[in-house]
Amino acid sequence: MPISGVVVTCRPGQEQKVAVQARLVPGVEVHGVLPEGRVVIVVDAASVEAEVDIASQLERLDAVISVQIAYHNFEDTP
Amino acid sequence: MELTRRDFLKASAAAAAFAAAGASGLAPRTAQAADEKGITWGKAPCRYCGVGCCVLVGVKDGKIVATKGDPAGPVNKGLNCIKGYFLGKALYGKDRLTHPLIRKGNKMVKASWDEALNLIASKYQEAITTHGPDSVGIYGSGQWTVFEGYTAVKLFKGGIGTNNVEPNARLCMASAVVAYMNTFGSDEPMGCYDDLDLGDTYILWGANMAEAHPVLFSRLIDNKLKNPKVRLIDIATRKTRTTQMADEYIPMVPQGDLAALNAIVHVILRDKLYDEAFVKQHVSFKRGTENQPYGLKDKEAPKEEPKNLSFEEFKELMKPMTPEWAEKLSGIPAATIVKLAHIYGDKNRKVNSLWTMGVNQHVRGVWVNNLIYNVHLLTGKIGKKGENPLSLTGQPSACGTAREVGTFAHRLPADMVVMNEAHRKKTAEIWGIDPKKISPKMGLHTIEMYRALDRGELKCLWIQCTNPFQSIPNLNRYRKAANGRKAFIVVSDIYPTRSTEVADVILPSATWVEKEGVFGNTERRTQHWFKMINPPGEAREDTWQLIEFAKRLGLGHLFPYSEKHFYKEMWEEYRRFTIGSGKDLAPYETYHKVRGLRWPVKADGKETRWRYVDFDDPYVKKGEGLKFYKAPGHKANVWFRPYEPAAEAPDREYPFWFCTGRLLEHWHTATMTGRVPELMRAMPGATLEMHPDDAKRMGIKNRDKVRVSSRRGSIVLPAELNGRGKPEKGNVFTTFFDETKLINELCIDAFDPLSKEPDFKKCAVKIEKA
Repeated sequence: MPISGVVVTCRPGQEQKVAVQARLVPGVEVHGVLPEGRVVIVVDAASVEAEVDIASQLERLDAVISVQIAYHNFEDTP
Repeated sequence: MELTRRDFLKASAAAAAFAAAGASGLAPRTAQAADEKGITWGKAPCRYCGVGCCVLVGVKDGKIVATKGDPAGPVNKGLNCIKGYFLGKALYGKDRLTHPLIRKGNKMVKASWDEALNLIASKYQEAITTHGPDSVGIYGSGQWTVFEGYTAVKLFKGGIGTNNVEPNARLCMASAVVAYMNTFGSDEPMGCYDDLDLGDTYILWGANMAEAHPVLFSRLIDNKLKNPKVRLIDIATRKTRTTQMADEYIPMVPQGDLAALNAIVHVILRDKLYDEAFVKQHVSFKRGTENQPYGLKDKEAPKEEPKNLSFEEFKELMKPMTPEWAEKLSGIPAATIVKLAHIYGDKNRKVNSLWTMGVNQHVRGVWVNNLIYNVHLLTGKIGKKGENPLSLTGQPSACGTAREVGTFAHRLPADMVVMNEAHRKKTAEIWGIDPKKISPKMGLHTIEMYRALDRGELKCLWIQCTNPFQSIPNLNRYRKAANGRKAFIVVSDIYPTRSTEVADVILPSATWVEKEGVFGNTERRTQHWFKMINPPGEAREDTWQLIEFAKRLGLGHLFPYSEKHFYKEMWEEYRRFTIGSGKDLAPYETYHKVRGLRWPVKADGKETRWRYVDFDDPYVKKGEGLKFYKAPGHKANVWFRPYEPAAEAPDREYPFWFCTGRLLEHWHTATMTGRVPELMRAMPGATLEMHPDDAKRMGIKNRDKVRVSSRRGSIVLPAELNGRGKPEKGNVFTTFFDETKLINELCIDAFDPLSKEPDFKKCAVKIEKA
């Protein structure tokens, strides 16, 4: 069950909208919505595979510019 | 409420993300206490691309269990791109190679290290005795650590006595190297990543930075979001993710860069946008040899014979290259070319040019590099904070190892070359060998190496840390030669690849933090890491493999380093090459704590961000301003480089331009990222991106299977009409990561006559419904 800390950068002013859309993605916890287009997310997924799927889904959201990973722990994955 | 370990980890994840987003104050308080139990953290540069992001690697019970973007890392400031998810995982694929294998007929049979190394040594010795040292070679990588590359160069050039040492970096930035050398007299950039934060105008020449260099692109976008003046101009043959963020997209016909850049120079001269004083003080003018062949014949070895020009003569030569002339060749409207010239010449703009494979993988790649420098040198927009040309690289140590150590057929460490007697002498002195041992004859460059293998002239080839039997162009010819057992082939790698399948011996290697290493990134930053975990099974590092082989050839004395201080002693020996060369590296221990240092490292241990300038570079005295001190007469060269066509262009039979490249999720031939099943799901295989109008005309719908054929090969791919990349009409694009589709069978093995770098971006294909 890996966990990752992710920073989503979007067009400034779109961060609330992106946060709302991100919350709909299973496995995503929105921890902070920062001004100037940043959303801090924790991804809690069943596998590293699922984590990447989630990151890719976030990347495909309209106003999103980039999805970057600050922290990744996969200690209890086989 | 009692917090579970999972809550702690989540708090840690959130805290790291808040900190990287610049809002540490908002991090949950629990994170303070969430120091992960039992995890030991060590620093390393990322294993993947040439950006050189700083990573923290968390190890527990001898296994990597976590990774972080290093908050202390100036390159990436605590963030990694999506490939960061695969840093740990890429080491734990089920099919890791764990013991040596030797070919017995069609089978690969498990062997001991002794058996494998004895066999390799006997085959090499036999070839050297019968056919001479130039009948053997080594093909390495821009992913080799500095230690690995240095060991290979010393063993082959200083021990065996052949310059048949090449890196796969020949395929990616050899054109950039030649242009740095023939313009400035020294390889690698004058600027650095700080220019991405400090400039206000960025002109991208055929570079999809958003996917190939995502962390740098994020830095650029951060700058853009903070500063409304920042403009990003994307000149390309295909719309990409980069285009989405650009202020302007300028579509260009393949090979049109040569015409467009010449016309920009024409307008800069015509409209007097150049900096007369700068040109007078810092620039000389040259004309090279034109109408050179494209390297399509074996053993073709074109030579450049430069002639001096005056500024007036140069201006005369540039007169016919009008924007209207360039419009016909590049498809870029004349007015846009004039506008670009005026942007480059605008004294109120800090203009940067950025490029990578679009410019380098080009039959006139050195010329395009030269032309970009021409624009910067004429306008004086170089050697300034926030205003420089910057060639982006693709591999983590293409700079540190391939270029700085000099693992090319013509190079020695620190900008030296084998053809130069003084350079051979200096090298021999440091290596403690007879200078006669180093051959003055340039070795085989990459394409010639594989051609020599096909001709039966190269008897033994050792491939380390790269996958040429998927990545070289005109692959059919070379795979056929290898499968025909025309040479004895050794492959050292961590997974089975399309290259291990043609090997006579497969050796299991240690990778990344399974060994100690040093990488050097695009901006001259040298980064060290320690070994953190053991490699699996019997896997051993490439350095060990080469030295054990050396011992069996009676060349073990070349590596007299003690077991205890092995890396330190090798580093300090290598460092002697750099001292006083303008590429000075720091003592070994210095790198243990810092997140890399950009050379030349000063006497006080500080790094140099901008080269050739008195405000930063220790080789330029205060008050001298800018000085190209490595160039003859301290003047950089502006070259006359006219337009010449591509080696192969679309015609009636093969009507489309064919271009290959990379995408965000997969790195190169995907031997590491391809191990991750979900990634393969998200991007399951190669597709052929087409323009919807071209597809419609041919009755092709999205995801229809199409056969794409060149004069060299044919392959079936699903058509992609709505993908993230959209080629211009008449162009198709695909990626080369998919090992089930050997895309490079289609590519032409034409190369730049100066850099010998092949053109993976331009050949002609036809498309049929399959």
